[in-house]
Amino acid sequence: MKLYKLDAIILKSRDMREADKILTIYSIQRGKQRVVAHGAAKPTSRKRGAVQPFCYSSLMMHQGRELDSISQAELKEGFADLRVDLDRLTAAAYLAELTDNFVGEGEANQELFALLLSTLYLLAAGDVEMTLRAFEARLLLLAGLQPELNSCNHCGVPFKETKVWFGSEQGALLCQGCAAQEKKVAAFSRGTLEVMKTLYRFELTKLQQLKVSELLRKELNLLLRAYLEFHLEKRLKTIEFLDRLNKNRAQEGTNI
Amino acid sequence: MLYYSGPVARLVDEFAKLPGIGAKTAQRLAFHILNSPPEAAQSLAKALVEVRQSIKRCSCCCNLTDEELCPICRDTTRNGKLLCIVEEPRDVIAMEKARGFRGYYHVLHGAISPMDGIGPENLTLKELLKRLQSDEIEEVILAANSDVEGETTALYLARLIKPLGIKVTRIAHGIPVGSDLEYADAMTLNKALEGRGEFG
Ligand SMILES: [Zn+2]
Ligand SMILES: [Zn+2]
Repeated sequence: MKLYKLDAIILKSRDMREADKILTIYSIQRGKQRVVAHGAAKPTSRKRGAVQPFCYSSLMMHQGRELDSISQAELKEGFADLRVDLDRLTAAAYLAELTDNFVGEGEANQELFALLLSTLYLLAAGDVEMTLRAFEARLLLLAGLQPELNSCNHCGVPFKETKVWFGSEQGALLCQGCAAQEKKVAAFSRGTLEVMKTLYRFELTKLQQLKVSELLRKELNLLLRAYLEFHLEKRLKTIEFLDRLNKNRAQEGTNI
Repeated sequence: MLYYSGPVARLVDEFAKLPGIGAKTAQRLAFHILNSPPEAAQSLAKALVEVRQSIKRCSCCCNLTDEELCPICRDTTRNGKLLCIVEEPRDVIAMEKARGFRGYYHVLHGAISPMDGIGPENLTLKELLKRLQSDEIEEVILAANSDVEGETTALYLARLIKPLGIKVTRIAHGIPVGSDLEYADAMTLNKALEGRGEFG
């Protein structure tokens, strides 16, 4: 009977049979992993509170034939402030879905773990939108997919015009001349690229000081989404609900 | 290995589609049917067809019923100022068994789960909003589950309903009756503390 310990963030929880749950977790020791939490849906379960999505918990694991199971769980941080706000809670769901889809199982990455954890802290208290953008930008970096923001991906000439183009085929930015020969391109302002560079330069905790206009925020969202969807080859499900909340906020007072 | 042909294989397949039923149990159920008298199978088949044909959603609260209005919505002695919103029909049963609530219900038939692509449009919100506009409801009690999907649903509904000038409350989550405090996890304990009420 093999036991081992994990410091993990719970990304996702699914009902299995009876009161069992299948969790997707991301731990500092083993990266992404699917595990079983037996009896976690029972009201009397002692681990229940520590295995809810977006909890940071210390887990005692028990090696199983297919999936390992959680024998004990202790909550380290429950991010309570995250759970009482619809925008923050939805952002956390997006964070979890993105991580789940972007990383493979069993690849430990301490930097990514640290990024996830600090992003959850920021989502519970900080600027939700910019926190998500910073996470997306850094996720690309950690995956070795950092976007080239200074010169055209096709001809290599440094960007000079006020606009650049994202080519859906290349999954990269192009100059005006190269973009003209592509069918599927979307225009972005150079200002957006500058904000994105700042996301890489700034410490996460200083994001609050970053003042970014509504327009640039919108563009930045679309640009990072374009990069991520190019690599994921699909759209994440949480995005639809996230967009709906943003739209409702923009037209404050209107329902649904 | 399973080597059944035609009808038996089909029955096993059908059983295996049911929640909580694996291949082995499906096989056991199928052979139970085969070993029972033909009338037993007839009556099971009839019950299955009938339940699907006659049970529909109550035109008011969306709970399952075989009539236009369910018995609870027909009951005029209940408190029309209170509306309790639950995720599933089985939650109504749980509440009714507890006998602590004498208002009316609204059944959402699910919870918002953005990660699964389940949004507000998949719940019975149109029906709910219609009720909130026409009825004399003064307080909406959000009784969605306390998991992430339930919280998301409750927060979304609060945002939707509050602008209508209706009081919105959330059922408290806390320590199960009869259990020791020391066994409660930190999150539950904090929730219980938040939801405390005046006493004595
Ligand atoms: Zn070029
Ligand atoms: Zn009804």
